Amino acid sequence: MKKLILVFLLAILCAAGSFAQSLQDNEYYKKSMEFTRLSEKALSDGDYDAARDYAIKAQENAALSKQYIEAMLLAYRARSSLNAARARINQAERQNIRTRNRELYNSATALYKQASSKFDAKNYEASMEDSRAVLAMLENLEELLGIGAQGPLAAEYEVKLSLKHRDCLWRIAGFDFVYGDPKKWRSLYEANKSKFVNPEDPDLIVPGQILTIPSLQGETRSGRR
Amino acid sequence: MQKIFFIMFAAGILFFSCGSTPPPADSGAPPQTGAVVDLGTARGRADAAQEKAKAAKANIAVKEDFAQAAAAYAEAQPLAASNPDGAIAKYLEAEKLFLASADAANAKREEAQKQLSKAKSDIKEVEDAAELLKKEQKAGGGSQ
Repeated sequence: MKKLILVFLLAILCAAGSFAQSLQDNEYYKKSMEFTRLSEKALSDGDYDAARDYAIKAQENAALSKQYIEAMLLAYRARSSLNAARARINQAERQNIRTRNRELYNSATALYKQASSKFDAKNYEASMEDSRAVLAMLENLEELLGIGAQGPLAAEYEVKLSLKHRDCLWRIAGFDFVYGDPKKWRSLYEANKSKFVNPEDPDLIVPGQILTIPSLQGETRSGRR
Repeated sequence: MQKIFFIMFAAGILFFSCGSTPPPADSGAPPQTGAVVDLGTARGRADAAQEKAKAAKANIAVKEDFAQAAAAYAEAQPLAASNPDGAIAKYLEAEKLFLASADAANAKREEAQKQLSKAKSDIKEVEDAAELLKKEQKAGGGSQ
């Protein structure tokens, strides 16, 4: 795993290096510099017509060079926006957006896919617009997912005695401050079974028992509920 | 006493009349219409104009114009002994052509310099755009 991360980081560094290098080393820029040099020489030699012609060629190449760099700049910005949108979706996934607000999740991922396709088609302006729309859509995520109302994610849970709803791992895993997804009860079980009366029986939990809630995707947890 | 006043009055007249005398014509300027120019002066003017044209690199920048002026100058030389008036006319023609070639060369140099400055300014813009991209890359994010 470490090896994989290292290779990934190296690939990013190489890509960034070649990206920056390609700016000053682009052919148009090189040509514009060369024509400028020729123009200066012709000017000092008194060949003013040639000096003017070389200068005009230098201008033409500088314009092409600028277009090239501006296209790279736009592509870079579009890529950054796309990455930011992806990161926001990942964050939302960690906060169980799929179960908490499926409709919002579907809209955001559809828009992200659209942004990604436009980026691949080099339609950078439009891609940026879609990425920004994803970011806007998932702004105030905790509020959107109703996390704020329930407080932060808990690190521990004290099993309660309730006559209305009996506490069980399935129900506890479904709480928003736990996983928001009952199907994740097994994570609770695996993390706590050594403390169970019968480690083989996930149904046997007792009031007052403290359950540790492990982070599944690196989410921050604190306090007891 | 009257003598002293007379001397001062005369000196005053002399001073003001000298001050209002027009300045002598610039040696580099073309001769005035109808002015009498001797052979030596005409040749001197043509030589000065030729130097001016060479200093402007007219012999390279506007070769044909310069060659035409040089031809007029060359035609004047053999006429000096047999036909001084004809020689003077040719020298004056050569002077005019040399000066025109100098002006043409200067105009071409100015235009070339203007284009070269524009090219340098365009290249500077390219470098600024590259710097902006580099900065954004370094900061690790574009406009979100």
